[in-house]
Amino acid sequence: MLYPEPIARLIEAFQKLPGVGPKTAQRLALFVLNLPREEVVFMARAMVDAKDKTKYCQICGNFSDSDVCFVCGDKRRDVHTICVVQDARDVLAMEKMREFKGVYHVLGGAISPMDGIGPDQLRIRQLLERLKSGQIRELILATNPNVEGEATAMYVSRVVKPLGIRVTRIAHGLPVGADLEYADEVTLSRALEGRRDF
Amino acid sequence: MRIETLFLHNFRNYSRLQLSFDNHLNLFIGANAQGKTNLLEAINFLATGKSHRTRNEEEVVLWGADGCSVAAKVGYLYGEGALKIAYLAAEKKKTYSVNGLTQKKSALSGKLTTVIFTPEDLAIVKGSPSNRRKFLDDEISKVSPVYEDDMNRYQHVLRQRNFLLKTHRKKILDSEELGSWNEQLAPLAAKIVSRRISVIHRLGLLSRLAQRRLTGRTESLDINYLSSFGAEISTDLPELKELFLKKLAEKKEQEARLGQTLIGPHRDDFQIFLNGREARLFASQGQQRSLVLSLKMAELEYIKGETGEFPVLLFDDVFSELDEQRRFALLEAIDGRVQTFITGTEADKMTRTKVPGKMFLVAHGEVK
Repeated sequence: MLYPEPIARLIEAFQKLPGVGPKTAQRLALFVLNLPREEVVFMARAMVDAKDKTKYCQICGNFSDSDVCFVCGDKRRDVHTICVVQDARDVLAMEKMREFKGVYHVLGGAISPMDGIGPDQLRIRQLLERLKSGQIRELILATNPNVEGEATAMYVSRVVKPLGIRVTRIAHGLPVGADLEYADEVTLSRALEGRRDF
Repeated sequence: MRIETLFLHNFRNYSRLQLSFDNHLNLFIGANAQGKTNLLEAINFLATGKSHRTRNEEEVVLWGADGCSVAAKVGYLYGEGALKIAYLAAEKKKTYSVNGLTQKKSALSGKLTTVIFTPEDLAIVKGSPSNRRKFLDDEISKVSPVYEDDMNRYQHVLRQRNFLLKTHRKKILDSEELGSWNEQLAPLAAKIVSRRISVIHRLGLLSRLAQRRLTGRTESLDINYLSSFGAEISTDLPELKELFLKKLAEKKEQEARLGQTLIGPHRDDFQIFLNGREARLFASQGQQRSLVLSLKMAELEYIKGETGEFPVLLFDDVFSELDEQRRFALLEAIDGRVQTFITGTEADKMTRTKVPGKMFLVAHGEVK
């Protein structure tokens, strides 16, 4: 069936969302048509507002509503330790833990040649700028433990190590509280490879 | 291990089927295009989670049905288990269960292991290196999920690295970026090649024995791993990694020019020698068949050595093409130890052998 042009455009727009295919997009569009007008205006404005009013922290690249984010603006944080993460949502994950007292640096993704992302597309130059201040003692690489995250961590480590700053990588292996007997072979073998002196 | 009962639902041309098998030999006899191979395919599907005949999995579903399932009761040296894979065509989704509980795919690993011999396997001797790599990788993956995972990760890193080499062909290659991919590729390449070299060594010994037995000691077989970066007999990981990184550095200019990774496990091969001559070039059709048979027999012993259980042996159409001496030697070798499934068109050729077993007549999607 062919929809009138405005509906067809809405369906097309919804399809741009992650995880939404043609069928879901169609369902969402028809749902929107049945909403009261003010609801629709509210949703549309919320999207535009979020886009317009969200800034990125000029220091670390985290989401923020002002020039400096809530972490970088907090005087009690340890500015000698920087935790490098892929995305701003990773900052939120780390903050939920409430154990990390250092500051962050958001790269904005991971190196992936297949997706056209190289070091120049990430905020690596800004990271090197920050390191020039000379007061950074440790860089913690907390990119994802997959192929792209690992490549990114290795890249950052290669360009930072010559500066004489301590570079560390978060551990991976068995989840906390898990029983050995229930771990699958692959997880167990990775944990074994990452063993350390005790 | 042995399959005691097999249940099929909407699989290929079987809408509903339940078969109980002999512990030793099971023959599926029938004219062409009646569904003999479909039975072997179903067993292999349950063992590997995929079809060995098609990449397009919807093909295994009975025409008009929205999904299929294969299940079996499997007996082990100690105890038994019930396995099931259900496939929904619309969602392209498989669900796995062990003893009635839904599980991750990895839970099925090792619960049913098969060694299958089909007419296409002759390519292991005569075909391109990719045929031999696939044979080797499949064999090792059957006993090592970790190897399979290493291989998948290697392929993933390789794709990214090749993409980098390709897209940067005109620009200057960022050597730190390439270096960070090399650093990931090297330990994986070392692990894979190390494992392959030691498995080739074992398979070499075992297949030499099998070949002697099959040919009445007249033919000798040797296998030799061919590394694209000069790895020989050492299986030492740090040593292999260093060697790989060194060769990668030497190839850098050439790789940047050609836009692809030129060395590594994805470029390796192995050579099969028959009486000192390379089988790929000299072996006759009949010799190829018995070489592959020897490799498969070696695989049986290898899996038994690694896991403690013999896998289930599946022969698709190949058995009847062996000469009488080899058929006899084969049945003697597996006698009473390995549960075997054989398809063929004529009953008389196979029943002349004295091994006890069960015969199934396959016609129009029905089995008697």
